Amino acid sequence: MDLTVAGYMKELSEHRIAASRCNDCDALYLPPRPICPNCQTRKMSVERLSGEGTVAGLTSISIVPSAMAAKGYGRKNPYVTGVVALKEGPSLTARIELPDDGGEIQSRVGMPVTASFEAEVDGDETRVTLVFQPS
Amino acid sequence: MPKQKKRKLGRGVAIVGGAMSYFGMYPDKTSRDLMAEAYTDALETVDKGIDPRDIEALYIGNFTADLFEGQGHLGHIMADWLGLAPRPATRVEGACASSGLAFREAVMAVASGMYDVVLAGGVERMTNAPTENVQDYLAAASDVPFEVDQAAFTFPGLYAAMGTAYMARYGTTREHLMHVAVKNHQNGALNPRAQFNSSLRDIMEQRKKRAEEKGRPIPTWGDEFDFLSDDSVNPAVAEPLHLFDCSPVTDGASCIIVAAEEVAREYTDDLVTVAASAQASAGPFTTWGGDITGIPSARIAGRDAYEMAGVGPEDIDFAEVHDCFTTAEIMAIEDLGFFEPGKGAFGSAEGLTSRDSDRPINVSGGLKSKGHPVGATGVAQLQEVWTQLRGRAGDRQITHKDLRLGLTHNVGGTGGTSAIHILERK
Repeated sequence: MDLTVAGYMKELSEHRIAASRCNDCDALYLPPRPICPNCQTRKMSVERLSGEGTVAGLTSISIVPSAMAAKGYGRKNPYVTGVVALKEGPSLTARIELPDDGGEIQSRVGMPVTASFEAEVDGDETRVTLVFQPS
Repeated sequence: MPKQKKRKLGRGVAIVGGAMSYFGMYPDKTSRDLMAEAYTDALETVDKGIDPRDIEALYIGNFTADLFEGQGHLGHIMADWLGLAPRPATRVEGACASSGLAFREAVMAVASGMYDVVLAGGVERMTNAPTENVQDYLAAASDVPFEVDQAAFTFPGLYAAMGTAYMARYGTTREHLMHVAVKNHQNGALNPRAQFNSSLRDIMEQRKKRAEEKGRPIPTWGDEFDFLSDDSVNPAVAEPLHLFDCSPVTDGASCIIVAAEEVAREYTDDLVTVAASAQASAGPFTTWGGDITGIPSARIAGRDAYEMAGVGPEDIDFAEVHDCFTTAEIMAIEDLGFFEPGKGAFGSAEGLTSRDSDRPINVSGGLKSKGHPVGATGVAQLQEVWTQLRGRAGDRQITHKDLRLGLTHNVGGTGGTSAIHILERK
């Protein structure tokens, strides 16, 4: 794969979470990147991650951006998004689906979650986003 | 961590003038109109007067007039409108830290010996855009393909996610956040140029009065905390952040004139100099090693600023910090070393950051109450610290202690950029 934003998105569209590992210092990066900030090397290998992790921080958004308003989200229908620490080490930002049991948002920190791939067709384009579910 | 090089300015730099426009909602004023207000007021603050032709260059902080008003290329617009063309004018962008960076560029331009007198400004016109568009425009300051396109984060959402990580780790609640809002509104009530020039107690009483006038049931809120706990008046924006946890959308501008210390006495005998100017960058959350309970670039810029000034956090008399959200102020006072990690929320609730405390935080009202025209905020913070150090802050002047060192903490995005300055009264 190309170590570009488009390369990562293409992997997602094929239901894979791609990361890059530095061949010199072994650090693992998500999204995959071409230059290691740790040792400046450009020798990177691509690895695929499991999609299993825990919630590091999250929020339920009521005042929504226009793209989410167009999908019917808003004050009466908020959505949840957050930061997930994957078991391999790196973390990523993604939407999270929570059980609707009235728990306080901060009580979900640490919850184990698993990635699913959500395809959205917009004209000729299909965009795949990651959405995490409770494990 | 990069290798540390001891940094210093090539020569001393002083602030000789500064002002902010009234912050608020001004539908009939464009960026240049706001900037002209701040500039003309700043000229008036120069103790011995200044010939505007002494100004040799301009650095203008602005996040995105491109999106808010369809106007790019802002530097030359301001140079022309302030009557200062053909002097070089450079727009500086670092999201909500834009004018913190503009000030830093101005300081370095003077310190280099290139210029003796330079203007640092900041401006943002925001309120003419619909709320959803404001969310979109501000979100352009994040890591768009990953944080927005993938995760649908808004800016309040990002600071809310940090808030939940903090609350879960340290066992704090929304009530701790409320203390920050109550304190900053109390401070803003003393600032005639603040967007919210009233305490939350006053806002609450006004709502009760309005209900009574309209013959509706009078709400039973006993105090500010009751008021803030009522979702009908303080609705969720991005849990755990509610409306009054968020800085408002604001129109405003700010302006400072800096001069080489060796010429500054032509303008004033009451000198405030730049003891430290530090800046750091970082990637998004996903590069922070799994900890989002504080902002790494603010810690690094803070450390560098203390080292440059030869002081520690204990030496700072007061600070203006980037409280774009209540969660942000709590992280700021920890990142700056005023409180141990996890203690900032409790310290805020105990009043240890209030205007009569040992180290007052955001006596201007902060972004929360004063308003947050994003590109203007950094210079507005510096202008407040300069004014306080010179004892000229009127009703909100800190009077219970001598002021020698004041700090400003200006953050772009969620810490992609942090700019920290320490000012010293001579």
